[in-house]
Amino acid sequence: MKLQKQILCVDDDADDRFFLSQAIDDLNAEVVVVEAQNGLEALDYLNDVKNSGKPLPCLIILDINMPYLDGKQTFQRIRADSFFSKIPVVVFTNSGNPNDKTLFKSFGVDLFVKPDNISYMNEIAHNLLSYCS
Amino acid sequence: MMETSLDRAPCYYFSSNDEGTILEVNQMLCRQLEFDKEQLLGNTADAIFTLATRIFHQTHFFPLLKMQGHADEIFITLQTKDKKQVPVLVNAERREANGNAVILYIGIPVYNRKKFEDELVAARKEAEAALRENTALQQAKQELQQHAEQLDQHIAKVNQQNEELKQFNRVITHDLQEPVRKLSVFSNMLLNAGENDGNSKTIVEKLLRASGQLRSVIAKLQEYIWLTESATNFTEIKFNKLLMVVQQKLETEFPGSSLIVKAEDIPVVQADWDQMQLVLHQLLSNAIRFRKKGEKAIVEITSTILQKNRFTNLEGKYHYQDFLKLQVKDWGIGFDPRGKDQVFDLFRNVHPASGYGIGLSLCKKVVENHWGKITIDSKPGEGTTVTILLPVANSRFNAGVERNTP
Repeated sequence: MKLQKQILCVDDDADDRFFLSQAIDDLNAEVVVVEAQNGLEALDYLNDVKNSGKPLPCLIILDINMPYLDGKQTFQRIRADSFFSKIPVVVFTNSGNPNDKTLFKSFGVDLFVKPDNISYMNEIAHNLLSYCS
Repeated sequence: MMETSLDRAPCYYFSSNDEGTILEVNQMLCRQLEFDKEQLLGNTADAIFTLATRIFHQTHFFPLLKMQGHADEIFITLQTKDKKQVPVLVNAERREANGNAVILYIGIPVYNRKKFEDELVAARKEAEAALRENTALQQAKQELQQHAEQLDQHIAKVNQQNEELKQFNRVITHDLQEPVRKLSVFSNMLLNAGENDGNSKTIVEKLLRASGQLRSVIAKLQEYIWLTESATNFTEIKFNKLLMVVQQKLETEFPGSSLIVKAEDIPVVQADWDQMQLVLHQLLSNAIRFRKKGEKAIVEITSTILQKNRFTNLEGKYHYQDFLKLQVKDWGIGFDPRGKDQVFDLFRNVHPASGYGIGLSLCKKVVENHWGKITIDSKPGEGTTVTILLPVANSRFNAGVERNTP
């Protein structure tokens, strides 16, 4: 069986994780979306992958407002570990805070604003998948 | 005839009759007043009295002598032949014999008396001034302390409001917009779905949930803002009594929840009854909602009085005051302690099963309204402990300062 590519979606909002995985699933059934509720869960998952020798996710999608570890803190921890630092990261947020935009731009991270309609969601999913091709 | 010893005695001596005619005078007085003895004998005493002494003698001294026969420690001024003044302290006695009265005067010069008096007056004035200054200093010190406490509390208030503003900003950008965005997405999905799409029901359910969430966020936000605006009315709070009220409410809210509260006698503090009720209600209902499945919700409340610096923001300022330390412990499911700094944030629920993330924010708000502190500790599977520190006396800004004054 061919190993499926994984996208790690880190978001405390179950609905958003649902939208995203639906949209990605509709476009490309080869890619699986792995869900984490917050930064801590995401890091636990990544460490698990690291220790078990399984392939790393092809993309990490980070929400900004999350409990325990927010998007920025999670990003910094991911980048601090050389094992994960090569994984592309994008931010998926509804935060209209211009500071967030500037901050992640300075990190060289693309920022996607959470959509309010399906066609825009599909467009985003399409863009996200391009990281994994 | 005058005795020789009296004539030579180192004091002033003279005698006169009631009419003021000098009958006897000793050497020292003559020498001092620069008169010859012969010039004074048979003369009127007015010769050696200054004008003021003459008047005083007529109006006070003599009547006194006539009345009680003697007068002691009387201060008068005599004058020399050249009208130089000699202050004298006098004892006098009036004796009657065979219908004739004789007044005997003994005196000593008191040139320094004025100086002593002036010094005494000056010393007293100085002492009074020092006392006044000291009192003013004490008062200034007290006022300073009071102002420092007010400043400290204002800083705390400003910091609190700043923090709230940041949270409101987050609430507006996140918690209020999110449900709206979802409403839009789900409606969109519903529109795209075919009539016979089996997902429609799920989507409608999601729509309802999102709109319910929006309503709830707005309602809870209102509750929070209400708490910001309402005044804190300090009264003496008996927590044990408050506990009974809250427990009764919870029994109707969560029937069959088997809440067991173990509480010792909690010391009385000055606090707002309604606000404290809200805190206890929140903490106990959390214990019920996050109890272990199939188990009773057991809560233990312990309390101690401890001394804590009232200043929280100004460095190097100390005013130790009694604080009530209230610990509310449950043995519920607990949560990951890494989230303990965030549980007090508005709408930030660290627990997947929690409500809207407002309860503990309200508790924090209430405790801060009372110039207290709230912290939480928890371990998954082991339960949660909430610690609240409240000033015992809280009715006024300067409650502490007043207690300092003896």
